[in-house]
Amino acid sequence: MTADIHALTGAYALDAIPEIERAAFERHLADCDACAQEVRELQATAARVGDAVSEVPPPELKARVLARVAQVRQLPPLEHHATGQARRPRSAWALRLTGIAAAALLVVSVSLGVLLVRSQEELDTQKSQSVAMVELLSADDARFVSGSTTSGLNGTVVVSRAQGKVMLLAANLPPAPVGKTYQAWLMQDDGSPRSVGLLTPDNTGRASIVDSSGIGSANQVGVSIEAAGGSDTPHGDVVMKMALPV
Amino acid sequence: MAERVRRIAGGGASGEARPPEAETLLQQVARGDEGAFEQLYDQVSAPVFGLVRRIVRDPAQSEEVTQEVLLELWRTAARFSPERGSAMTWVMTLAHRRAVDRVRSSQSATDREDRAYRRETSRPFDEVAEQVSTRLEHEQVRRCLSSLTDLQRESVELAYYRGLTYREVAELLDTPLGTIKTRLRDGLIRLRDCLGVAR
Repeated sequence: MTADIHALTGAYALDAIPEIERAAFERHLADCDACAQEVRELQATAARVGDAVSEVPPPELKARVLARVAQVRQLPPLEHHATGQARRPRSAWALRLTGIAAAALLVVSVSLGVLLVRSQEELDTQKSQSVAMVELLSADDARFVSGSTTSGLNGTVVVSRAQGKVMLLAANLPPAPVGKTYQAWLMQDDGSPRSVGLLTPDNTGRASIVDSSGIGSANQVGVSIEAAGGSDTPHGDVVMKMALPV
Repeated sequence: MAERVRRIAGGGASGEARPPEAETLLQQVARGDEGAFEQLYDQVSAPVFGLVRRIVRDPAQSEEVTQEVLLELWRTAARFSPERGSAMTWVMTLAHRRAVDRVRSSQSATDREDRAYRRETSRPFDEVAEQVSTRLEHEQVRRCLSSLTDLQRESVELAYYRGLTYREVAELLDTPLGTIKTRLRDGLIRLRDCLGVAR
């Protein structure tokens, strides 16, 4: 937790965070108990400030709201307290199955163990990416630029030269062709492009990448299609190119 | 004082004395109790409408947003979790969010023309102070607000009562982003301590 991120608790409690930063900060909150506690206190404070400008609404509003209530379905509670459920009595048949099930479970849990190790790594990567994202978005010199291609691909670039960070967000990015991947590059007038990393769109066509290894004299960001695994220098088709904001 | 104590201790006591706490009402509302919802309406509609109106300003739109907020309370009452804060905080956080959503979505179109105008009218404190009710509670908020530095107070009020983002506040006050972020946080912390908000 850097001081810079922590400073956003106030802005967050006041709803004074732009949408794009809100999501990143909320991911950070999930991991930072001290921040979450402070946010709760500051939200309670803000609520008091809000209460101070209380004003009785026109009386007809009450009738309208009460009438609507009769037509609105209520959401069920979230089920995180659902523990003490009554156990169903087990039949003899179910008992016989238990032994087989236990053996099967052993097999499953061994392979699951492997999976879990991998997803913990993925989680760590995601976590460090979202920390970098929050740092970048809250940098004093953060600059944004957005654009779209004729094919409907949208890109947003956020850059902080002081922090040496760049983030690329893409939307409407179709899945890469089989055996290929998208790769993002920082490009400059003199010298060869430097890889920022691979971009993998999710099933809604969105992809994002953050890089913290410096901007140097780069003045453009580009995305090309490369062989799966990526390349050292861009060979394939360039699908997007954007000038870095100054 | 005795009444206050009773109010804190008593949840759902019927008959004389005070109406049930918002927390208790929300629980009943979650079970579909329309009578409890009516009581909840009586407790929260003025704070909600006042805050929404402060941000949205247009009376008809403010009523719409207030209605949305109240229906949202009805819809999601079962999702309220007291461990994360009081019912009133939950209600006001939701109200603020909805009001801000409303102004930000209708804002982008008129942004540019707006900027010059906002520069001239960047002192909401006087209007706020004027309208703050004389009730003790409200007095205390005002007293606490006025104990902030000018920059803290202006930043908090522009963000909270006008629904601006911290980036817009920085722009409006011609102050670096980092400074505004810090002022919003330390301003709120000072308010928290002044108002005695439970830690």
